[in-house]
Amino acid sequence: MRDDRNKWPSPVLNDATRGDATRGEPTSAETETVSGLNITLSRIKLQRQVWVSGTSALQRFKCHSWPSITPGFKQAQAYSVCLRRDRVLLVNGTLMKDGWDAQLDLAITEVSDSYYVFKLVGENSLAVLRRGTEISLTTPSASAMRKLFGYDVVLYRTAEIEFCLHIDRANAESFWAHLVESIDNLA
Amino acid sequence: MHMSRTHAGVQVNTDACFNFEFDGKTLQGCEGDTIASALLANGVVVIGRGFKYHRPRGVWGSWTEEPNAIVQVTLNKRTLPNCLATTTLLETGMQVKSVNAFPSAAFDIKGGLNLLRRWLGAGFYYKTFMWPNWHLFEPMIRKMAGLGAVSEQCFDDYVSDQLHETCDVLVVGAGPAGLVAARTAAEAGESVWLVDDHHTLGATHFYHEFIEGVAARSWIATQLTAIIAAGATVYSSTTAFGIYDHQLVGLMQLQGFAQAPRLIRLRASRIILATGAIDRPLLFRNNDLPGIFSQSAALDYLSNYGVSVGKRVGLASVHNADQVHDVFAKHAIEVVALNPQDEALSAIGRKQIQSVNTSTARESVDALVVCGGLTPTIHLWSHQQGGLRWQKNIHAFVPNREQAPAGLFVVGAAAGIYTLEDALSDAVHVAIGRASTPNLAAVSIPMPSAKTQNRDSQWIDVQHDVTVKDVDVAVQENYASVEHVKRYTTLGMAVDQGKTSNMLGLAALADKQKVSIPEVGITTFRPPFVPVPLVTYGGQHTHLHSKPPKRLVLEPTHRALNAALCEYGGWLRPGWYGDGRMDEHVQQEVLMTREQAGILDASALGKIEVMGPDARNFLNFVYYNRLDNLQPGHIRYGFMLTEGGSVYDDGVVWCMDEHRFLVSCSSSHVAGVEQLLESWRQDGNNPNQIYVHNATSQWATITVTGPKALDIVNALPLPIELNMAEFKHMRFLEATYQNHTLRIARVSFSGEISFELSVPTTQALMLWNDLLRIGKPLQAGPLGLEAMSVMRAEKGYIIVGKDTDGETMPHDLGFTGPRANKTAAFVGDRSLHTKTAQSSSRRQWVGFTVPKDQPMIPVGAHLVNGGDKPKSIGVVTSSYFSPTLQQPIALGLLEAGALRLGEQVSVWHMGQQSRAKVVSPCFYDVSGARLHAG
Repeated sequence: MRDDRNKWPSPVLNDATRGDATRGEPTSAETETVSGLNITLSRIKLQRQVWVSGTSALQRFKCHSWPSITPGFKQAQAYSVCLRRDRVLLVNGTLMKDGWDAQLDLAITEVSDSYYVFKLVGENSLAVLRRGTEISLTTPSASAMRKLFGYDVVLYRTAEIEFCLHIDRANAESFWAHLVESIDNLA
Repeated sequence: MHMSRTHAGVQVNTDACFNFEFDGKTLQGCEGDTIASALLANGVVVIGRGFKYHRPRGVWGSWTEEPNAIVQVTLNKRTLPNCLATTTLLETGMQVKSVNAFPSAAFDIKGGLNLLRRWLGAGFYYKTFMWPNWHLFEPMIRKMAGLGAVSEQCFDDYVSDQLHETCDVLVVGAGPAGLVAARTAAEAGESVWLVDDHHTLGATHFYHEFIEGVAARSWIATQLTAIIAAGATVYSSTTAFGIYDHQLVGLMQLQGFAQAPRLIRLRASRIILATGAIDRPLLFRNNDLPGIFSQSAALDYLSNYGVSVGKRVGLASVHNADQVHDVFAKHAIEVVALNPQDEALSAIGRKQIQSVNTSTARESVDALVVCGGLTPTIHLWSHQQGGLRWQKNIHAFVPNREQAPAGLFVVGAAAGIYTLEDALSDAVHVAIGRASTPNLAAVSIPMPSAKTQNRDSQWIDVQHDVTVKDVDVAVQENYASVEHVKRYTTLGMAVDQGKTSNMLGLAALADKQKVSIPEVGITTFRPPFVPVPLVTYGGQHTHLHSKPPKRLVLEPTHRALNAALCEYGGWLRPGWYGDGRMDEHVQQEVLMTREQAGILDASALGKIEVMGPDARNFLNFVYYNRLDNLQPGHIRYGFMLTEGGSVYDDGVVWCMDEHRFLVSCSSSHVAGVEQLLESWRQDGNNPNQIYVHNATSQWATITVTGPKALDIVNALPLPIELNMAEFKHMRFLEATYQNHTLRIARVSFSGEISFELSVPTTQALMLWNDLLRIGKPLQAGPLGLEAMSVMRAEKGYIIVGKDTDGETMPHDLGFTGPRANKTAAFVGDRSLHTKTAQSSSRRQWVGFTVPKDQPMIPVGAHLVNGGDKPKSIGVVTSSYFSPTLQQPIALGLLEAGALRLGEQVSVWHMGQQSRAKVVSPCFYDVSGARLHAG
């Protein structure tokens, strides 16, 4: 096999670089600010993320989709995001036991370590997103799942011009680089 | 020929002129010129050569319809092939070179091919180069074919920007009808985009001096000002090259020479096409000679670039001839009026037109301007399967508004409306969504047909050197459908896309078949309308953004341990640890693991949870092996098959509890297996009773494997101590490690005692460091994927996708039980019982050995039968030097391999033959004593 250790730059995003892997503040490498464009992209840490699937999932958890603004984000309160017609992503919720809940007919899996979460803030942030996907504040979507720059992400609004992006950890490094480059191109 | 710049023209700044080169000659052009207009202003007549016969060719059109003026351009050390001279803006210092010509367009040594053309007509290649073998001729033909030469340069910054936009109304084309439609919609409060592919908006209008009583240029400027004032987005140099599903329009926005265009994916609620119409050529003898121009091009060059195509110009036009005559007269151009409808014209000249013969006279001219009618530009309309109807009075297919695709409208000349007043009125109605029935009968345009004589000199498609005779030959060969004739003759293909050749081809075909043109029908237009560089579609997905690998949480740690990071199934994983020779490190890691223990980052392994009341039966259905009797705490190895019965993935399934299972599939198949599970969940199963959660990234997995694996794991700070007598192979349990859940599974891919330890990903570093620390005094250390692959091969464990191909079935690998005994239905079952599946000559999985002093068998080598013409009977899929056995070993698929154990087979690779012995695929610990130790 070809040794590609020099082809791919060392990751800038990695819990493992911080020893005990506590969920602290993002490092300086995990924040990208382009003041000229008034855009800030940063990695954020959430307390807990859980997938819940079942026919009653959407009704049981009042979940948010596009383009509604998710309440409670700033206060780190619990909220939920619609992923598909039978699945929600619970954020900052209470601890739930993984597995099949036969009483509620729900499948539960904690995915706190599956996702990296980025926050994109600023008046030009929607323009950045439009480089990667077809998106408009006037076109609603029942699901927060998107293909952004070709990556599967969970994307929702947390304030008027503030967006939250969840990306599978294995793809986070390249997705981050792609986002940063898109912001640079916009500049 | 007396082409020259007579005045400044609207678009050209004659105060800003500069030098450029064409075929090595220094010429002068001005700001605003296209390459074509500058060449014409310098009197350059021959710009290229015909594709097939190398006949001299000049400029015909002035925009994207141009079939001839394709050139190679170098600027600032960047070379681009196949630039259209009529659309490429001239820049200082450009070096322009003709293509398909040597040494120059004016003198091409292959021009002699023209003398042979009576023998080289349509079908010549297909018939001539079949015997004795196409591949004998292929290199020569490929060398002769093609236009420009691709530069060996690589432009790292040639990366397309991409945007996604939406609007209420998109208007394509900024001619009078498009401008009116855009203004009307914008002033009605709709969000409007107006795009035009020209560099200057409104530049295509040169027929009318006045529009609505106002000087045409002022009228256009007024419209544009109003459109922008109403809040519309207006883009020039932007081509709508295709319309796709749900009103998605592909817009290519030029960014300058050798700069990647920007791609805008625009979703418009309504799309109004104001794309105009293209002049049709006329069919007459030698109608391809340089110096013959389309009528609109001649006017364009005169009006916008100040270039007169000649001083004594023949005018053979069936539409607007009087207006053109007046315009030429104003510029002191002498016009020789010709009658293309009734006269059999013949162009005379060698490398340029010198005269035109009619039935009664020979007229000396230095250019010939022709118009055989107009063809509405309906490409975009047709991309959405918009209906067409034949409009007899103008001899053209026009959009049928009764068969309009949703959200798609067409106005102006593109709709077949050739009178300005009607076009403007109709555009207003369409823009505000009102019904409109324009009068298409107001204008009559005849369509001159091909002449009966000299049919091999009447050119239909000048880009591909297709003549009327070629169409005749196609009909004689019994090609009846227009689509077949198109492909047999190549007319209307490639860049032309039928812009100039389509209607002539249809007319010639109709004439030959003695039917009408609507009976012949029309070919299908498909995107893109103009050539689009492939990078435009790729956007930023290039260089490191092109298929980037997935990254492990422990990658920084592996880097610190000097790991070689390689791509395995889409993941960047440690191949081995250390600098220098790979094989030395790999052998050392194998021996370390066989004798002590190895510690492998196996986090990429799939971890897909399947939950719900029907999960057990569902997995029993999806897997080849029985899973309906798998008990909690137990693990079972199994195959997942395609419906065709071939092996798609192998892996292990964990039974977490009665309603919860974990599918641990191959690293490279995680996304595919998840999709497959989701697909079957919703097909034939109750999706409300089964849920699939791909939790691969949630858990990091570290494998400890080797005789000392148990010692290492038991030295971890765990609340339990593993006991091999109780914790048997293919079992798992959950424990707590540093207050986090730890899953321990006893599964092995090395043939040694192995434990897969899984923790939440953020805890992986802690576990990895603990394992290395504990293992170090036991001479255990990190293990890369290469060494693991060697150990898998030694043990005879397959790697699906490497040791199998798209035809390999489980019984080819020695797994026959379920096919014979499983009673419940499962995916792929039926295909395992076909005649092909049960054939005795199927390729079966076996091992190969060679004597210790011989080199390894190359992977990919064929196993062949004897004889002078060896035939492949198998292929080598894996081959390694086994440090454990101290000899080369190999695995492969061999016809009836299971019956050949002990036989010698011939191995063929790159012309070399050697011998190998067929053996069982398991080379190591055949009894499984080490695997099941304890």
